[in-house]
Amino acid sequence: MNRLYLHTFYERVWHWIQAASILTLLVTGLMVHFPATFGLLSFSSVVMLHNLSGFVLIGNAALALFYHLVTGEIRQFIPSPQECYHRAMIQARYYLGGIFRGEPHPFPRGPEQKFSPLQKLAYLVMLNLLLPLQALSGLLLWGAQRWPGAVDSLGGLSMLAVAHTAVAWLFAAFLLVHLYMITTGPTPLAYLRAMIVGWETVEPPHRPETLPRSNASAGQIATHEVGVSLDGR
Amino acid sequence: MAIDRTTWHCRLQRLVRCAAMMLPCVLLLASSALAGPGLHPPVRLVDDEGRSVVQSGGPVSAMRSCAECHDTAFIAGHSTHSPAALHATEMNCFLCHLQKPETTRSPEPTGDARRWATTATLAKTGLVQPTAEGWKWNNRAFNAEGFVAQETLGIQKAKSTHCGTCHGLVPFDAEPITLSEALSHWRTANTGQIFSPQRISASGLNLADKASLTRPWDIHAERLLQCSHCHHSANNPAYAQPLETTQPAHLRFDARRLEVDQYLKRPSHAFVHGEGDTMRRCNDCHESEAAHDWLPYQARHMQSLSCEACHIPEVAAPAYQQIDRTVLTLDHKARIEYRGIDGPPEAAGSLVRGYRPVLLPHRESDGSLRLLPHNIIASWHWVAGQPERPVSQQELEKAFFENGQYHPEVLAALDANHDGHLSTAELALDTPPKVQAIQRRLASVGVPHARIQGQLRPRALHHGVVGRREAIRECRECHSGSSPSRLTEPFELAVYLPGGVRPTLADRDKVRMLGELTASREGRLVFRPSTAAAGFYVLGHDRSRALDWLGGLMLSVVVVGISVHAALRIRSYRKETKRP
Repeated sequence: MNRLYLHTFYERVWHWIQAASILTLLVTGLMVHFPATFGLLSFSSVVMLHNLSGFVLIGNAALALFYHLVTGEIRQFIPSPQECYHRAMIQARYYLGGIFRGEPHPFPRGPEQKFSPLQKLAYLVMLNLLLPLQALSGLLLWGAQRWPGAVDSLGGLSMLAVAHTAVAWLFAAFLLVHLYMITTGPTPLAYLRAMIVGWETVEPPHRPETLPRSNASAGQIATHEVGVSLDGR
Repeated sequence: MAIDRTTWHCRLQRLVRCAAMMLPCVLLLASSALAGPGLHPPVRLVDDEGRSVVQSGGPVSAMRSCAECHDTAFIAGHSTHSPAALHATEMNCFLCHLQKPETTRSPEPTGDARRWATTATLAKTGLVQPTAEGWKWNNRAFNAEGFVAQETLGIQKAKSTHCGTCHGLVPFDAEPITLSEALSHWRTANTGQIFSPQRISASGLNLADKASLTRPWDIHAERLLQCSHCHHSANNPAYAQPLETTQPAHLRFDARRLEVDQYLKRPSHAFVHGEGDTMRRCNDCHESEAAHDWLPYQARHMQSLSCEACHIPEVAAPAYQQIDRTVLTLDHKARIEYRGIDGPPEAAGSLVRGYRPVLLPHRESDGSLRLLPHNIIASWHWVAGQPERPVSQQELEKAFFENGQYHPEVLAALDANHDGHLSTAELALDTPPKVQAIQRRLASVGVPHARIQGQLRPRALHHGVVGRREAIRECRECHSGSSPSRLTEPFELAVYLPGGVRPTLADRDKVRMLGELTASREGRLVFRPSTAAAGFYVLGHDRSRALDWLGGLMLSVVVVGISVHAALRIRSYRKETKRP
């Protein structure tokens, strides 16, 4: 195992601010959506906290976009054409079978490849589609009395609220999956520790994977592609 | 002894000078005695031909009598009060401008009685008395020229109590308000609104939690506002403001308005009200933004809610709920059910609980749709013929009664306990046989093919306003998905459905009754409003149930999947660790 500095200080700050704001948004959103069931705080306080967290998330996301563009780290989030399907399938098969057999991760992490194919796809959708959609719908809900024309042109509060709620459910599902997947590292807390201290213990690098043969079994493909045989050589 | 002519002459001169000085004072005192307190001069009461009533003995004409100083033709032409509605042949100034007008209404007068309607208003002044031969003038109350002293007539500006003669219960004295008093005013009975500064706990009503109801019936009445402060004369220089549409754009304030004497000569009696944009609304006096700085999304709330929605959260007095004109009580009246009271109003032990009005979308004068509190009165009546016309009271009485008692066929159909009497509960055409029985009776009196029609009449509430302490301030009153949310709590319309006929909304122009009408097994009709159907979206209240179900299902699948995956990982890890 190698110990690498994968996550810079800013990346970690950005991540945790985003995590806190999304968590706060989900909790307060739940309290707004079901005020009778989750009435711990006053309704107006909950709405105010929700709005505040939303602006924190938007500001944080904007700064992060700037950072990643300037540093070039944005490429970490962009999946290649191969990653979009073939490597994603390899990784999916690992999570559905290989992980139970103690196989190594098909795509070990490194400074040049912080995210796995499935992660890249998930973040692509979340950060470039769901988050902007949620931010826009949230902004319009917040500013409904400032921009009534814009709200009405998009179907009014009922349409915006439904869209906002639908994406919120998706965010909640993503959060659950994300919290679970961070336990799939070399140790259950490895990834969490790395996002706190920046250093991560990673698996040794593998030979580059190749495209699978269509008539080969899944097990043989996995072995051939990661360059590691089942007996450890 | 010789007379000192010089001294006598001086004394005479002094006497004459004193008399000359005193004469104006005497005259002034005399006219003051005639005029009495206030600015109004003595009035010469004349009939419609201009002759003094003392001389002619005929009925007084308010229009001719008051025309000495006021342009009564202008007033009559600019009035929202029709003489016909007041059972008179002309506008009756005395009804609203006397300290003590006689306002007891008799059954609609006809013929000669109608001519004397205005005169009858003066009964409490002592100027006229009813006799066996008709109304007689009290000549001693008039001077030789036919003038009446101001203090005798008691002319004054109209006060709220005058408006209350017709427009509902408006008591400003300390006498405790009673339930019979409240329900005797049909306007108050329609909505339960009482415009009075009296504390509700000081009233004579048998109210639930009465001791806690320390607020006044209406806060504006408590703060010394009169009806005319909001419903002012259209040309009153103190209140009237030019419309924005007619105000020159370069003027912020137009000082050109009627002088007091001009206004007194021609006071418009077209009092401003809710129609159009003439009436002073809440925002014309109240700085709502400053008073609601605690309210989030203030503009959004003000766009969707009328001020009354939060400032008339409940009505302490009972009101009409259901008026069933398909049946008649023994005193030939419709059966009436009230909301907000447990038991019949005439029973001393009936507990008044009041009611929470239903919020309905109401089209305002500026075209916007706002939620406004209403009472909804459900009524049923018989109609017949082509074209359709309501069955008259006389026809219904003929069908229901014979020799002052219920017709045997009516008794047979409705007397469930066969005691020979019809109780209030038995007076209900809630089964087809009962309906058919009355239809047969109506056909026998010449009204064939009669059928029952039902109507729903929403009555808007604008009075009975509470201050900030009692107004709705809790967000979850409305922003709540579980019942009862203030917005969609069920509103009972009827305790039974005559003929099983569901009523329809009578007034569709301004009010929208969007929601669900359901009839329970017991026959009660309940209305549950829908804000979503009316185009409102209320956070925390309105939501897509289907989306919530899908979202919950998705989360459940994710949790199950994670749980299974984690279990399998733990199992495989344990196997690995156990392997030698």
